[in-house]
Amino acid sequence: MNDPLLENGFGDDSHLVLQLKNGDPEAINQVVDRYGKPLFAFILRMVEDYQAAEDIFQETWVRVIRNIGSFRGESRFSTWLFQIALNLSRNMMRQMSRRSFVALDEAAELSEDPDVDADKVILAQKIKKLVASLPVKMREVIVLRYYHDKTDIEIAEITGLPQGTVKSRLHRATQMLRGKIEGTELAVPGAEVE
Amino acid sequence: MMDRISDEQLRALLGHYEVSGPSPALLALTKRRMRGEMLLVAQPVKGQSGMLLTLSALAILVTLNMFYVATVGTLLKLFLPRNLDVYLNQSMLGISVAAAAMLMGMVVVVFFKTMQVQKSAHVPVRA
Repeated sequence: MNDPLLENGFGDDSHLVLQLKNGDPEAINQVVDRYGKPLFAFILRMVEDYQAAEDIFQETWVRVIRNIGSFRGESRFSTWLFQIALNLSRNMMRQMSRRSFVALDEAAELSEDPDVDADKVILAQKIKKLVASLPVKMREVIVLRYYHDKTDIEIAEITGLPQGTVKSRLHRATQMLRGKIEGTELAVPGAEVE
Repeated sequence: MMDRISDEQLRALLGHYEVSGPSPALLALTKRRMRGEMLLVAQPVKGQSGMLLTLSALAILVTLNMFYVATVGTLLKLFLPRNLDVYLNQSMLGISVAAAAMLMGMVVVVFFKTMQVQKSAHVPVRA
């Protein structure tokens, strides 16, 4: 990477970050439109609760505005954004684990819609349960790698773990997932033989 | 030897778990909150510059007061009758104390305001 804007971590967002730092309200629309969807998907896959995800989503963006002055571009803006969201999600999950909690089952709701393919809904629900069954630490790395295509370095920055730990955790998490899949009908026929 | 699921197959399988995006209402509410927060973040800077200006004005006032005491006060002491000295001394002292009190009060306000702003602006990124 020879582009100095990319090297300093602001990446393509350097202009947006500067606008936010200068308190330009126009930048809010752009940055939320750019990152809103992946950020919400990440939070929802982590906390598995729509209401909680909405709260965390809002709080994440408020904290972005509050702390944008201290963002120096040592990591990419999206990495910083996911880092804030992950920390808020971890806090929320800790709170949720302390009280009895009934998660909203989106797939069950969708299955009542006649226009939605029931097989797809059932499959989605199974995968959702599979991901949700992973320990939180494993789920973090799986979601970041497989749903957001984050590199080891980015995952390390977001989770605050050493890169080596990320690698080993990813390995263990995928092994765990494979083990869970192979024990069910989800196992893909004709999978590669190792 | 056992059949293992490749990384690509795992990725494809996980891809079936799609989640809905944020609702337009949530996006609108979030943007509104962000705008509000942006105003709050910008305000302390303006407030601080205002306080700095007031503090400077008070400092000038105190300096002028000291100058007045040192010059006009001394001259008045020379020309006014002796029986009025006590009033002159008391008025000079009163003016000085009032100015010093205002200055001290302003310093305290600036100090605590700055502390408050720093505390509210600092949100730990790590949990």
